[in-house]
Amino acid sequence: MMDLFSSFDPSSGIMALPLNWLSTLLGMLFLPYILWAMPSRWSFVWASLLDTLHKEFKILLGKGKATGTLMFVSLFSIIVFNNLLDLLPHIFTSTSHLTMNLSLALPLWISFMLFGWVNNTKHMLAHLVPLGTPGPLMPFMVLIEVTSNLIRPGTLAVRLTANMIAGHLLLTILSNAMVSMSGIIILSTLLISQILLLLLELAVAIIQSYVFSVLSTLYASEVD
Amino acid sequence: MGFGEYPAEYNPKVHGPFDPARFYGKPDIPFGEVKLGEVGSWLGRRSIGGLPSALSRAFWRWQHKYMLPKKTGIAPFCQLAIGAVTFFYVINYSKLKHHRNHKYHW
Repeated sequence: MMDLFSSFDPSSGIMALPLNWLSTLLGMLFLPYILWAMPSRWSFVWASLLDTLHKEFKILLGKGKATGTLMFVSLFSIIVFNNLLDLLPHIFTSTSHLTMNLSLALPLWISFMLFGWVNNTKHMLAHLVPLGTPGPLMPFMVLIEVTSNLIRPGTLAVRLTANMIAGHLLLTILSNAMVSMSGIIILSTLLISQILLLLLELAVAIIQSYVFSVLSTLYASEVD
Repeated sequence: MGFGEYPAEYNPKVHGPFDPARFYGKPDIPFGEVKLGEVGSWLGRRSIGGLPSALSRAFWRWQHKYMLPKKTGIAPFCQLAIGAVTFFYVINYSKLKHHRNHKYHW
């Protein structure tokens, strides 16, 4: 059992120093720089991707007072790079750790809540009862909305962690099975399923980062 | 020379626009042309405080060659990916060493 999860261990072989966390910063090496008046092709691709995201998040944030989308787009960037780089062999997945994801989700949520409750208390209280609730149901709806608000950072973090761990673990288990199996039919089945899983992992990596940032955007838009 | 500042020897009137990949100090013998007996003195002229700027110039030289041209291909991303894989393989090696023995038992 220890071997299955040893790829999620941040301590490296060198004196057990947690050097593996450096993979979080690895995405920065992939970012385009603009030195010349004519940007490179990669600059254009990255800029158009960020442009699409900015527009998307702008719609989600609505016409509130604060419509800065930079934080959410950069959140998306760090998560997508970490998730995608995890698919390469031996590279550590920092987003598969609850520590990392909670440190992304908790400050966001706490700041939104503090800002909302301190500045727009009436607005936030009104949000606790959804539109069109029948009268007798209102106390329970308030309880449910409070609970759902309170577990938001948890769900945000745990969703990303669980997705990354589950996908990685599935691939590891399949590969372990393939190594000790003989017989061409089983081997080819496992091979095909592993390739399909890898494709799924690619999609999940990108989608999960998108989901994380979109949800944080929505939580931010609720405050205003 | 601090972080984010121009090197002390850079002069825009003499050198033109700043190129982060260029060394603006006094030119020294390139390492390929140093005689074997002079290696010690050549190394003595280097200072450990110049290492961050040397790494930065190396990074920018790589950027100039691969990432900044108009028509970048997939080469720099493959280089980064393989470099990262090797780096993480090396630092995790002692955790992976026991995989050699897998063929001897199940």
